[in-house]
Amino acid sequence: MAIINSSGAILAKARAMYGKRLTLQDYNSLLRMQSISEVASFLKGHPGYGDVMEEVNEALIHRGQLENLLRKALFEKYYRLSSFSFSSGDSIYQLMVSRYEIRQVMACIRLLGAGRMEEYITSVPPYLQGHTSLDLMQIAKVRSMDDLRQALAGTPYLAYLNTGADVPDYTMVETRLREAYYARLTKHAGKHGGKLKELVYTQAELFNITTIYRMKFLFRMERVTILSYLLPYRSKLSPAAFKKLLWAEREEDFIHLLKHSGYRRLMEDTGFSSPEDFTRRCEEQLCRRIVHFSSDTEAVLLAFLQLSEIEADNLTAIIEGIRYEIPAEQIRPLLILPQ
Amino acid sequence: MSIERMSLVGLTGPAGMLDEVLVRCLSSGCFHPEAPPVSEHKGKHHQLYAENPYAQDLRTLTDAAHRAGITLGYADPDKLSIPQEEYSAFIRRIWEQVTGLSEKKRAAAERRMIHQQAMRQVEHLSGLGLSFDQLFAMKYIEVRLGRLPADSYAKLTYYEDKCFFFQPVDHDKEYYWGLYLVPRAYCEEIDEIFQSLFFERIQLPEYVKGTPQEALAMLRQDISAEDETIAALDRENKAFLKEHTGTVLMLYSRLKFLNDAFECRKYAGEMGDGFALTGFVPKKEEKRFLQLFAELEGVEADAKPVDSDPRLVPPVRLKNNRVIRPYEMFVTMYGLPAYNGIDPTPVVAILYTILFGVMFGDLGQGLVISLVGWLMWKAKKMMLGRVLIRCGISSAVFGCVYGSVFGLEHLLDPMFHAMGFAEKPIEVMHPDTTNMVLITAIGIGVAIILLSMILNIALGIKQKDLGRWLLSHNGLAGLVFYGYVVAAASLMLVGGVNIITLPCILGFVVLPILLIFLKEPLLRLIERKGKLFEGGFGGFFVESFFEMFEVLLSYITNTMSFLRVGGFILSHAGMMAVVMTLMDMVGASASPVVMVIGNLFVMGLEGLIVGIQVLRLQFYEVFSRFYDGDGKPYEPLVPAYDAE
Repeated sequence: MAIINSSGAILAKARAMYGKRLTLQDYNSLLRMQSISEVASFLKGHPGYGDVMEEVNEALIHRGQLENLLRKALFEKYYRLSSFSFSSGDSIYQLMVSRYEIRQVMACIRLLGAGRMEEYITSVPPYLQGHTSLDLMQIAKVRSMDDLRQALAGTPYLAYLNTGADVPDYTMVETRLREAYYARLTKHAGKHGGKLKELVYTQAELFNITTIYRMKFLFRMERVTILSYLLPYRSKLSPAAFKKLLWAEREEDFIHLLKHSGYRRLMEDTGFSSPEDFTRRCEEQLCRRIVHFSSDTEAVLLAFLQLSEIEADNLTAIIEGIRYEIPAEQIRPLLILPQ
Repeated sequence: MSIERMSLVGLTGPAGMLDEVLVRCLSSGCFHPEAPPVSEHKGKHHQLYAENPYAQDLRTLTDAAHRAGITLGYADPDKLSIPQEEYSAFIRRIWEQVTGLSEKKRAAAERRMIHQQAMRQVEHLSGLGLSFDQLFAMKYIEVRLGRLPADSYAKLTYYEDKCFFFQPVDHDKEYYWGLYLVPRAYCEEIDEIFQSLFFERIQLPEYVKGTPQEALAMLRQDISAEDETIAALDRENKAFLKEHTGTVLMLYSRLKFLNDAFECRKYAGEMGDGFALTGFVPKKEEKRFLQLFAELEGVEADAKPVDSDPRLVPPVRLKNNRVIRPYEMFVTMYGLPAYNGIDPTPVVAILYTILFGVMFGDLGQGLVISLVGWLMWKAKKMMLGRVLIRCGISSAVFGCVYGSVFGLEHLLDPMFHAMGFAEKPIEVMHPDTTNMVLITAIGIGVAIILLSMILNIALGIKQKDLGRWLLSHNGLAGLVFYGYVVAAASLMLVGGVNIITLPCILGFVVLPILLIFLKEPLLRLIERKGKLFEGGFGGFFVESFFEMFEVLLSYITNTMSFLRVGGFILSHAGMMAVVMTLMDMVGASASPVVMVIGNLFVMGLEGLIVGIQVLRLQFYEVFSRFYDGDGKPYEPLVPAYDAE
């Protein structure tokens, strides 16, 4: 009797699912479309989205609903994959759920701060129910920070809200939550090693690069303040290179330093138009390489998830672009397209 | 059976003549352009570059043709009756007509889809048990029919304090079908909530009355009405195609040609107030090509020897006769030879055909493979089909030698008896034959390896590359060493003759090995290129020692690699023997079926594997010894009518 290797099975499954991704030709077709219903109709006929779009009425579908469906498809895709795994995949699955939970908590704090909490209900992902310890319906009814603390009682997120202030600093809470998430992720990746570690540490480092750039050149913040928002992980940058980036006075210097850092090859391929774009392109390249060549199951899983998120973001950009009648040539630069 | 000789041609003239020159280059079908040397004229090309005046019309026409369902291709544009200045107006008319039709069809299809979806949704409401008239006749209550995503249904508890009532009548994994009832005073607020929950209302047509069953009947009528509209539009489109397809294709061909010719401006470099074009044409086409420009005022065309500009690498076009030409696909798959190299196609053709026949010898199966190849070529124009025709014939010839017809090993015995033989020449499965088959396979391998080395020596001499023809392990040194070792072993085994003497060892083993080992420093010494051992003697010694080890090992492994030739002769006979045994087991009635299936299986499986293995032998054991495959393909300018 054949012995089924669950790692091998997950790898094969992940790669098979990856094979159903949108191609450059698909993106070109999507960019030529004039209406949301055309997009929905196209996705309905695409092997990667046919299942989730099967019952959709493409003539009536709303942009928000389509985006929700794509996010749900993404979550279900990952859940399906993790269900193949009997051991290691569970940890990554838990981490992914906690990422979704953090997003919900952050969305809630942001809307509370803006006094628009009634909008939260529309963004609640019901597909998360059953996977999360958060009571999303109770969170939706929150109208004050005290309500939120009550709703989060018994969850690990409550501690991050108890900063002493009545209304906690949104950015600081976000940073602490991210730190906690990355602490769990890097702990897991550190134990695992290999490509997973490279991927996780690179993601953390790319977050730092984006943060430094934004805080330094857009918000003109002090170095000491910036440091408090950074994650304590490095991957391709040496300590000296990292320090130089932090000390760079001008944007050109910053970009020049990146060009001569461990990101040299990626910079040659992707260029640098904005830190967010650079981060996404770097992630896409690294993840694509891992999915293509790595035999590390967890790394492939995480990389595949990342690529699926990029694809979902691309589709969201296209859908919103079409909704607001933005010409295709202006939408295209916003996309991270496959090569 | 060689590489086509080329001429380097240069075209110069005033800028105003550039388009005419490019049109003639394109229509010649033999001009391989070279990019202008950018570094010398940096920033000076702008005058020759302009917006392509045909691009927009071509795009519009292509778009219109695609919408109308016209498959674009070539049609003789000389028969076109529309003058050039009216092209744009004609294309605009065609485009408007086509888009008008396709828009109408799209709208009808969309309406049909909406009706169909409404119908599917009303079907879900068939459990309502109420008439729509009754529902919509309520004075103080508004009713909304539709479906709610299952995700949103879960969120309804959030709105439990709001003034509405949702009644699902059907549901699946994704949606809840039903209706919500809301007092008119709260209608706006509740509609907004449901909109945010992506509630899809079912908008029933005004005339839909009665129960859901009656509504369904109405919707069916609507759908058939739209079907009729679509059919009418299709008829209109068909009439349009009948009337205009010819003109559209001719116009497309003309515009595509002009567009492609204009695009070739990128190959032109600026020279004073004029242009300069450089490229290659086959030597035999040179006169005809130059003649094309004779009458053009101010245009000068001249041909030079192919190597007169060292910056340009001449392109390669293989020139082979009809018998050998199909095998060019294997050569181009690996890479074309250099212009001053050797075309290996004849070697590939002969070796591939013979080896395939040897490894897959069966008269009946060979003829079937030829037939399949012929069908592939005739029906699909697949070049592989032509290769299969030749391989099948070779297989049939060797099948005669082995006396095998569809696995029947004694069917040809009467023929052999008539020819004076006591039995068939080679009985593959006979124990005494097995060794002979394997030793012959090795012999074939040795001959092929020696031939490859001789080709490498010839190429080295042609290219005046001493290292290649004399000192490399595939050069004369390698040939002497390998030839001697093989000869010594063969003579010892076959005739008991011993030629392993000290002078022979010194001359045919030690000396060649030393030459191969010291190849790099010897070349440096002869070419006087600085230090003998660039990275120091230690580094050189270690590196060369391991390389030498690998070379010696490769002589053995490459020779043994040819054992597979013998192996496949045996395995083919073995597999057919299994088929025959199965035929005996199933009895007389089912044996023809087993025979057909068995033969098909063996042809499909083993034929494919033998094809791949022979190709592998060519690429690894033959090409790797003398062939670089770094040639540049000859790509003359020709309009690509099917490209868009």
